[in-house]
Amino acid sequence: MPQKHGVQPIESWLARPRLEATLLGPGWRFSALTVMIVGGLGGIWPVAALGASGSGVFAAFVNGCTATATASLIWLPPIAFLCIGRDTELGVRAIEISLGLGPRGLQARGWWNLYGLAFAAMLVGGFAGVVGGVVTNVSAPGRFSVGLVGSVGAAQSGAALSALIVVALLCGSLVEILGDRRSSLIAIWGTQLLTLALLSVLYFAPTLAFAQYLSPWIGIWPLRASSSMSPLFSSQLSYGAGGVALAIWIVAIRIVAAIMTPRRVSLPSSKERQE
Amino acid sequence: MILALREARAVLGRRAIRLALVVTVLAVLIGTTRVYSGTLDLSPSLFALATSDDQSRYIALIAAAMLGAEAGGLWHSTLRSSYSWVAGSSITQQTLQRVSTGFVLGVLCGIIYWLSRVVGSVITIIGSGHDLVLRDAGLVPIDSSAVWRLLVACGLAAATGALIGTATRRPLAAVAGSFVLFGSLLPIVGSFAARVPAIVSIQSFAPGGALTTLLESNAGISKASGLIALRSPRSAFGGAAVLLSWCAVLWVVSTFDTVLRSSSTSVSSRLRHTGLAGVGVIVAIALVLPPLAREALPWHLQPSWLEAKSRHASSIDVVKSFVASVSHGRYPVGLVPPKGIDVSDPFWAPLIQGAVVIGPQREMSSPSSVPVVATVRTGSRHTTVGYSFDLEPQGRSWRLRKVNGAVLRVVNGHTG
Repeated sequence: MPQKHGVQPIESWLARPRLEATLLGPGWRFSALTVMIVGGLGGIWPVAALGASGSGVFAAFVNGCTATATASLIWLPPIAFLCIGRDTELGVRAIEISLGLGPRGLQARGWWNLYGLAFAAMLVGGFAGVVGGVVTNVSAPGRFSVGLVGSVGAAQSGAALSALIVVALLCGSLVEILGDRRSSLIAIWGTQLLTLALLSVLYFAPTLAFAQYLSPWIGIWPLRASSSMSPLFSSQLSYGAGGVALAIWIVAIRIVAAIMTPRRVSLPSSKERQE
Repeated sequence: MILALREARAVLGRRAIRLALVVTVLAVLIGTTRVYSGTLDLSPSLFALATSDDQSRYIALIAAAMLGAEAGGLWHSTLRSSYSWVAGSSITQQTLQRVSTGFVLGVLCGIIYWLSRVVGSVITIIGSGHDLVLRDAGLVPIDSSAVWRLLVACGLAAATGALIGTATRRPLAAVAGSFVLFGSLLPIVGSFAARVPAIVSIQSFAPGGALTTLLESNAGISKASGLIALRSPRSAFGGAAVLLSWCAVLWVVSTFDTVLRSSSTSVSSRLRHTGLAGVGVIVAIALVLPPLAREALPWHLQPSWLEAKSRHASSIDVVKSFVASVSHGRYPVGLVPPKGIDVSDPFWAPLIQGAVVIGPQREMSSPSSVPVVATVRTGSRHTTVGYSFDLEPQGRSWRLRKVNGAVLRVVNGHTG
């Protein structure tokens, strides 16, 4: 006989407090609104700024997803902290520990949540792009279609998706290393701003080109001098050199994170649990 | 409805509101009598004169919007929101109540406007020595639907104003905000529009302009009486869409603001309200940005140019065809050479004998002028000749109008 108020499966019970802890934490609203606005602009952009006569519905979805993934440098850091760095707010970690999850399990759950939310946010950005694209077809009437007319190419979408995966990896790793929210956000956004500042002076001081390798974000920087209309804020590294630099940075950050993370997650011993 | 009426009565009880209404009535009366007292050679009926089209109706619309804004802002300052919260009203119910209160106040403002018009018309007719006839076919056209349409317009303006008041939460800021958003209906804005054409576009997407579009276009009125010639959107549907978008954005902002200030920690409600806020922002951007941005696009990103390029019918393609035809000594089908062009003329020789570079697009200042550079090598002598092909649009393609040419430089000896 089915129980009306029976015990819920552990998985769903665990997922819900984690989601609530994430959505009630600081910064999620900023991320959510940024995702929607950037995704919506992705749907609007081809007609508004590139002279396209119209945008297809699926194209707006693809463009919204691509824009959201490309801008993940901005909106992902707060979510990364909420998924991985937030330790004991609302007793979520205590619940998980009491259910017998070890350090690896806790870590894996944090990463699972981070990537789940990152991809969900990308899809939300895609739907925001559809809203933007459809309304744009009303305000600036053009060639309306359902298909992929006006969408970015597969290469650009793939690059944006890769950037999202890498940004999540880097942000999560930096949060693991640094621990608290303020340090994590300052480190992530601060290094992004420094990269931006470096690229802004690079056009006038080419001798600083080597300094690009000092930024972990350079490999996934969305503006490239070869494909951008303006050299300002554009990276001058080739895709190969940028990829190599990125790989080295990922390995280095992961090694540091692997060394430092177990110190932060300290589970109570079996004796302490019994007490 | 009873609650809305009761709330409207409470709002009207305030001295500032009564003063504003008196000023509105006086403005309408003075406007009506001043406009018609000197022009009544024939005897129009009272109905025709009262419903005739003039600019005073915009004063009524602005007054209604400000009245609604005052009502929306007062809701918070008089702690009515707290009473509603204690009474168990949800945020949506409270907002609906404020909007309906604003609508009632707006309709009331419209009724006062029509009464003022009737009184002003009576004064005008009697003052000019004519007989008072209630309904007659005079020279002034009768628009029988004008009465209820203005009432609805005033109601909508006040409802929008109430949402502005709800979003700003302060009566003074709400009244100022509604004046800014609806003030584009004032005649003075029309005089600015002559100097700054962009005002017309902005006006079309402001709540006041949208309301005018909704009421006066495609609605059967004899002539659109907008002070500013609205360009886009012109249809009543477009006006309604713009106005509803404004209402949706204001609603979302006010709801979002209320949620931010409330102590509710419900995840689903926070998600829902954040989602609504995001969609509202996107809709607002998508309504305003693309039409304005399209006009500001450089010529090489205009849809017409991109479309011509995709059909290989751009001015560059026409020049390419022409140069190819000169080189081969014959013209392709459909390409008519300009009058007076003789390809045997030495003027064209560099195009036939030399290495030709047409364009490129990034060096063109406009689509109607295509640069062509031809470099002719004679022994060790390099002669560079520059041509400028002037074209004019013809249907969906381009037609050659004039070609200028000049020797740019001559280099002797081998070049590295």
